[in-house]
Amino acid sequence: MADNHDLLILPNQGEFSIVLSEARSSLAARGRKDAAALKSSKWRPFALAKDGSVRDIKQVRSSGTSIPQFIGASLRNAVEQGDADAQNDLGVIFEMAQEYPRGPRFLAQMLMKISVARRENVSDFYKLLLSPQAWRDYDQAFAWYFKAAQSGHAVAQVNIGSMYVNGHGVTQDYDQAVYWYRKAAEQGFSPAQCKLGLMYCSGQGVPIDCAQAAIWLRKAAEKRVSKAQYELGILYGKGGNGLPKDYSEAYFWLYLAASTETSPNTATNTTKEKMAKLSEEKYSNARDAAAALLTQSHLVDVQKRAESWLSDHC
Amino acid sequence: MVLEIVRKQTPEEEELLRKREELASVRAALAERELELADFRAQLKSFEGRYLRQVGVLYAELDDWEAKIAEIEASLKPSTTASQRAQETRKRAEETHEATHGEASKARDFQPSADLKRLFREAAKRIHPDFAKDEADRELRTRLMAQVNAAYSQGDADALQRILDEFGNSPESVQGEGVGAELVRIIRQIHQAKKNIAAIEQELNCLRASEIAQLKQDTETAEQDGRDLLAELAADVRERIDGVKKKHKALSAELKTNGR
Repeated sequence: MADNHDLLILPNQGEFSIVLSEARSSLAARGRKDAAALKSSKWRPFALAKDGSVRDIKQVRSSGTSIPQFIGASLRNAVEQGDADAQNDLGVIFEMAQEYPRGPRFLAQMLMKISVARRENVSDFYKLLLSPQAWRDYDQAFAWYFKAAQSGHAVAQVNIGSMYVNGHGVTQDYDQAVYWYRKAAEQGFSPAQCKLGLMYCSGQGVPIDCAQAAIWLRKAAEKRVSKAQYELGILYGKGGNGLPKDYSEAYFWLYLAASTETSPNTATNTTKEKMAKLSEEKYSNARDAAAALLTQSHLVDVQKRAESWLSDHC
Repeated sequence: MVLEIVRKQTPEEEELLRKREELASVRAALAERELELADFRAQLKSFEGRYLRQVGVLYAELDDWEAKIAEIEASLKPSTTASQRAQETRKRAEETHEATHGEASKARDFQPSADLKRLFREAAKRIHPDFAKDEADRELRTRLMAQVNAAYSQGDADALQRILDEFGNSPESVQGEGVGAELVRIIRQIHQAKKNIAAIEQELNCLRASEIAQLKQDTETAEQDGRDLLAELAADVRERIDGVKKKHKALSAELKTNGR
């Protein structure tokens, strides 16, 4: 630019040369490079996951539709064919749609996660999506969970039960929560059995009934849900409300809860690791407290029984 | 004036008439190019401001964390290369910060109205330093043209109008100038205007080739596909910042235990 300065009669060079300053220019170059890398690595899964959806987004943008609405539309085909999985997915997406920057990249990530989750570990995926810090579109989420729940989707039934418990997208209603938890629990879905058991413990939506609570918690505990094992142990330790105190049962379940290893692959981020560590501590503390209530011979008996349970359930 | 020319009809005057017309059309073309240049500069500036606010500040943050990490690494395992690296990353972080948090990041959206464009054209045609009679006039015009450009980039139509009003109508021909002298002057002015058009063309090309213009182009292309490139870029840099922060935390902890 400096070479032909004498040719340039416009004297506003100073102000606008900012545009071409070297530091800014290299910053722009950096952005271009990173943007190009984005295009090749992170954008592609979306294009592959959804044939022709790039064109769809164009239409969406020009029609002024919001991104959650678009996600809705892109999964609607599946939904309209009565696919309860898709309906539940939609609920999940609406629940968390606001957490991420709106844009096609968000879509790409969501759709990719869904497709991965379908093939691999679905429950981890839902846990991830239902993280409490998410700003959620509860109304939409509720509507879609409801659709899926009505057609018998157990995960959606638990989700909708939890929305009733938390009063998210709907007035808080423990009776309704129990109704949906029970539906999923009766299908043998262990997280629902655990939740239903806890409702009996606290008397939310049902009269307090520790015997019923123990029945449901035990179903989940038998499936190695460590939270259910822990709650069941605590329940036996306290007794009352229809359940006789039983320290050896208490110790048995607390022993199992404390010995369930948290597998390293499920704890992927620090928050999760911390949570896992906290409950591990809680479980082993409770186990040791229960152990103090038993005689030595009882203790050894129960430990043996627990160990053989563990080897049976590996 | 026309009547006078018709009456005289000498070959010089016929030529003068043609040259005056040519000058007028070259001046119009010049004003058009000036407008194009002013527009492009303002758009680039506005886009750059957006880029710096949306993505640049994140790069500055990222570089700052990286500099901090390099500094900790240098104090954990002191060596010439480590301290050199720490200095280099810190310098880069400062440069990024400087580039990001300056004046340009405050640039606002630029959408000139038709009226603003008309005023600019008018001003460029009348005030252009090219048409100065002498050195003093040239200085005045240069100063005014700078004001015109500034007013245009700020979208200030009132200021443009004021400048035009103050400038008034400069007489076309110089007092006591003969036909031959005027002809020579006009031919020179035409030549100068053409040179200026070429210079503007060159500057436009230079601007178009700049990194920021190309990034703007990329962003616009992505927009056609329904993508928000700057938002995607920002999200990506944010992810990287999170990663670097974690590393910094781990290193700080290590530094603490080492210090004990």
